[in-house]
Amino acid sequence: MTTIFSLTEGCVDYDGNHALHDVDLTINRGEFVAVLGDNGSGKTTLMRALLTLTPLDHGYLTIDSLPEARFREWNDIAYVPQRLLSAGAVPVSVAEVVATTSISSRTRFQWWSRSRKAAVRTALEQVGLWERRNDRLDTLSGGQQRRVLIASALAKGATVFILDEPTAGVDAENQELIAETFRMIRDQGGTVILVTHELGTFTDLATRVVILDHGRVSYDGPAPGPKRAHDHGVHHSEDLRPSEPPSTLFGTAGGDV
Amino acid sequence: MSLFQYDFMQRAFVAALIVGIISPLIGVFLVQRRLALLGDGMGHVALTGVGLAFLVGSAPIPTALVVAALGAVILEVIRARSRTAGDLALALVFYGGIAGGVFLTTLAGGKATTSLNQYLFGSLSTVSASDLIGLGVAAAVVIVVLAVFGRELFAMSLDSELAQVQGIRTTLMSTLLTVMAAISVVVGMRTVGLLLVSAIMIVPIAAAQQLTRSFTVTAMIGVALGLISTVAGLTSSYYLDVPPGPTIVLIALAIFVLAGLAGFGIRRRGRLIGR
Repeated sequence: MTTIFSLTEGCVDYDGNHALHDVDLTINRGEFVAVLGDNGSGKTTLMRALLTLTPLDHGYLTIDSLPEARFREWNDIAYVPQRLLSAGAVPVSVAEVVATTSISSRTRFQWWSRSRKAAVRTALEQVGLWERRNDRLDTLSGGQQRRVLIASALAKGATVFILDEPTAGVDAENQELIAETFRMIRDQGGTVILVTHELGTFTDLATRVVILDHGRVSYDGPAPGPKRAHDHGVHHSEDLRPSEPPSTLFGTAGGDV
Repeated sequence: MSLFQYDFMQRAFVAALIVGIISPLIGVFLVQRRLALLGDGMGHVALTGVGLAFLVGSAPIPTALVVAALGAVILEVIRARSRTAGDLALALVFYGGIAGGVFLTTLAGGKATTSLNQYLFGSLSTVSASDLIGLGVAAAVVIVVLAVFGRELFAMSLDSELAQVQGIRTTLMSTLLTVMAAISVVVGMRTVGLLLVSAIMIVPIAAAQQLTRSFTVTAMIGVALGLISTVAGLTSSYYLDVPPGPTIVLIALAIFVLAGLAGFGIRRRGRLIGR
């Protein structure tokens, strides 16, 4: 199994406080990892550190077995933020946002090719928003905007997905749609790192759960969800909350490391 | 039209057309990045270039181009390297620019102080044939850069972090955009003037976005409104015998108000312009 991210003794400090403290984490290709934790637990900082958006104050990160500074294959990693940093300044259409992720220095002169157009269409259809492609992004609801960002990630053609609370504000039906999309990605050998405070519809998808508490990893192990799902054939998310050991998985007090 | 019988008016119109096209094309990215005042600051910095040109007797447009581009790079370095907030970095460079410009112009003495006004508020009669060549080259550079890097600039303006995760060199793109803003400020300095040139980057875009639903269409309508503003402003400046900068900007603002009213009606019917 090849390693996509390997973080060794990762530390990030904000104004003297440890947002991440000595975090060791290795994520292999093909894994579906749910990173859970309360607000302020460091899960967002960990995600940003993996994306190299927040520099480490101490520690070492490799991406695809390369030191992060030497990693170049960013086309293979798709990031779904909670919202766009500067949406709403100038009108931007849904299709424009989705096409943005296929922009890179390599595709400078072939960006709007037929295959890119097809990728944008497929991605928008997967999240059920193809009909809204010509609408202004800021006329969509919060949940719909999140689906647009997921479509952007899908259109990129990456195999590694990092999702920041992808289903917050999304209605139940579309949560299922999103979960189904990432189930397909997982089944095709894709890697998914999901940062969230509740697993919700992703419960039976995650193969591994990492729980952060006060900047440290308090649990890193298999997610009981999938086994139960397959064993019992149940698909209701309430039933699939990992039950063993529940206090460790969802409590805030430190458990096994 | 009788105003075209004068060579200087023909040159002024060519310059105005270039400004009307280039400025909104850069402005749309600045508005998206919420840096609408950046052009203003670059205008201040270009003033130092004009002052320097007076003092050493060089041509104002190339000197202002070099100084404004340098100012743009310094601004980006301050922003990237220090923890100074973006607007504070802007302020520091701006003050230096206008103070330097007035200081150098006064040192140069003589005619320089009176011609300073022409650079601040634009002038109909000052665009020379060699100026036009300079403006044409600068405009061509802006168009080529936008053709090559426009999509990366768009991605960076929309979400710099998302762009970074795509492998786009966001600091480089940000610097490129600021340098392009500096160039388009210098392109507009003869006709609109350094104190008002930023308006023609921003106001047509502000007007266009009342009516549109996509970035590309906003940019295109912004260019159309920019052209209407510069051409109508220049014409009225000729007949009213006032500097062109203020008439161009007032017309652009009037268009903005009309677009705002039209947009209100259009939005209620849900028929914004897009593809």
